[in-house]
Amino acid sequence: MELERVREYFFRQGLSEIEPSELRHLEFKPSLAFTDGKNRIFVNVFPVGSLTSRNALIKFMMETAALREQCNKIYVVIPKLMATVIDSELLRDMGIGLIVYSGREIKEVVKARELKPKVPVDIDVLEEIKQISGKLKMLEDMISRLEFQVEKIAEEVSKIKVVRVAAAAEEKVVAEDAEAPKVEAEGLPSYMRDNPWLEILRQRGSE
Amino acid sequence: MEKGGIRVRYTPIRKIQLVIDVEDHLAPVLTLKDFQKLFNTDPAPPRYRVVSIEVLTCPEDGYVILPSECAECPRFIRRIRDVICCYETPVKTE
Repeated sequence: MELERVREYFFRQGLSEIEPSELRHLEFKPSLAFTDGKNRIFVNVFPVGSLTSRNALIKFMMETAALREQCNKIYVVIPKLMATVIDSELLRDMGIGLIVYSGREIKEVVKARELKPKVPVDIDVLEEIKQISGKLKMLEDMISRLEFQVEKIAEEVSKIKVVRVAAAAEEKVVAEDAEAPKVEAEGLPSYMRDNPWLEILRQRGSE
Repeated sequence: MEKGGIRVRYTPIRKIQLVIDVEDHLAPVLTLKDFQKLFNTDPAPPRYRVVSIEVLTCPEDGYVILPSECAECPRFIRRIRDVICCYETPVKTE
């Protein structure tokens, strides 16, 4: 009953109600939540029925204090009878607005101060961040493994290069050696020209 | 004076600590201060109980009332520490 009246009161201020699903990440939920398109306004209503319970008011106030960090403005709505007991100055100091109701009467007696809410953390987002950081770790491991393999391959390639250079140098020497007798043969005496023994002796020398 | 030029009255609340004798109902109810002065000791349970009550004088009719009774009055605005704020004249509310 009182909730309906409070809802009506805030609608008349030009505010629209926030869907409860948007507040699912909150540990404590306000009785009502409104928005003006930019700011979030929470309203915690203390029901008349709770007046008989000693701890109900303490619980109510503690929950309200916890909600302060999640919105731009917060109001507590209490029965008029309770307003004669609660010191409104305490609420004003905390930036909490006070609305008093009785019968059909509903009155804002302390204006809520603008609060700086903490960035709301969605549980789903947290879960997603966890998954992403896990994947990032996997990628890091993969990259370090790939780096190791690339280094190994580079080492092997450089080894192959050295072997190939040595082999090329040897081939060159052999090729030069093969051409040499022709050059020498031009200035030699006739008994040494086209002598097969000279080739055999040269090869033995190189061995 | 509140916003909009509405005149507001600030009435102080008085807190009184009373000693009640639960065994002798005819014993006069004393304030804690008077009890201590009279018996030179603090009221000890289970015979004595100390209760604290808050009262104020209604600026409208001059009666002594409990702050909770202000809830019945259309002039009541709020309580600030130990002071009750109320309109001098009833104002139209929503």
